[in-house]
Amino acid sequence: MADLKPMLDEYGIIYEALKKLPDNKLKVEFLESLAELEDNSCHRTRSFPKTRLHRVSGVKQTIYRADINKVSGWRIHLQYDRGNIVLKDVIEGRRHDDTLKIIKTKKGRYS
Amino acid sequence: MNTGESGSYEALPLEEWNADMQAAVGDIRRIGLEVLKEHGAAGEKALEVSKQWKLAERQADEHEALLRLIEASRLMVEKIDGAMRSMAPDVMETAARTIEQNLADIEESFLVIRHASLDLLRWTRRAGRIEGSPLPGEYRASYARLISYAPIFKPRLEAFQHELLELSRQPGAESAAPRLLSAITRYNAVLDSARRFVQAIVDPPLELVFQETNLFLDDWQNCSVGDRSAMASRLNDCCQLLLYDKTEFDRRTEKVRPRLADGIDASMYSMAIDKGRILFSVDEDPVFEQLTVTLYRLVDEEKFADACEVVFQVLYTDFDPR
Repeated sequence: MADLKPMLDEYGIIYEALKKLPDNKLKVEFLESLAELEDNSCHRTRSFPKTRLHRVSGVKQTIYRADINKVSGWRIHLQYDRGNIVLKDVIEGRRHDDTLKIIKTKKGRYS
Repeated sequence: MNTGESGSYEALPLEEWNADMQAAVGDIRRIGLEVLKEHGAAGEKALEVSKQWKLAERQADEHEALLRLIEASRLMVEKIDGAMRSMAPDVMETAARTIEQNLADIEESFLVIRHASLDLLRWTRRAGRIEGSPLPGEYRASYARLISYAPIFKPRLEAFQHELLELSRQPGAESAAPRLLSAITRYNAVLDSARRFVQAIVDPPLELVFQETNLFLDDWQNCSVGDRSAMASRLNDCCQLLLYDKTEFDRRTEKVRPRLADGIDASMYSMAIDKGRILFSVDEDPVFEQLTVTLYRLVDEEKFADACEVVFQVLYTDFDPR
């Protein structure tokens, strides 16, 4: 049995996503994204190649963003609560804005 | 122990404290040198980065600074101990003067120690990484001894502060009591910051990570090399405080509060810097175990509000108030 991270959908995000996502391809990709988020080995290695999971910057609440599909811009917002993943929102795709793209990351000290 | 009467405090265990502190400083030096030697064998890159970061020289500076720090602390604690036990105005005046004269030295030494120790540990996690090496843990543990007397000294100092406060309120009170009270309050603030720093070494917080955006890089590259170096140094000093002294970080920065949807708050800050103002966010990231500082803009003061608007429009599209 795969090592899975518990996922809670108390806000009905899966239901909402299947209603909002415009085509079957995106619905399948949504399922693939959930599968990656559930996979504990991704959390252990901190590697999320499909969803590119990352912390939303500039917001005090610890919200994470996961891609459903990189090009279309559809994504999932989620939070962690006592080791469980809590799905929070599914966000509609829009034109990508590169204005605030992260260019470089420097650990420890700025130079 | 304070029995409720002036001048009736039990003497602080100063000799024992001094001997333990000297031993701890000796251990930090010895283990620090072992870390450099053993982890230097991790590979060519380890040695190269060690030279680049001047780790050997800074270890020597760290040792000197620790000795200065302990000596300045000893001078101050001895005088405070004397004042606690005699309560004579002239002894209190001398104690206040000793604190006032030595606090700056403590703060300066503390800065050297902080940078050297954090960089050494950072090196052992990166270029000088050796899987399973016990040395970084031993180095951390030797730092823990520096704060081992806090549970003895701190409550007694607080009781003494309380007594000084009472004395200061009495009609016709001597000026020595309020002066000493003010000096000890400042001394405590510096020591609290130092203790939190040591705690951060012993039990490391999230790793600090800086992220640069497109816009920030453009702003940054418009500054001269000299300005950039000075600003990077100030930015580092300020953001390192996030790891162990949030109060001082808050003092040096200002919160920026855009209007967002209910239940959502911004983690935005601004910091005045020589050539203007920096807009940045600070975000705890427990999944990736890091504390991320994202840099958005560096602009002149008069352009700051407009620059913020542009950033907020892009950043908070998903969290706009509806």
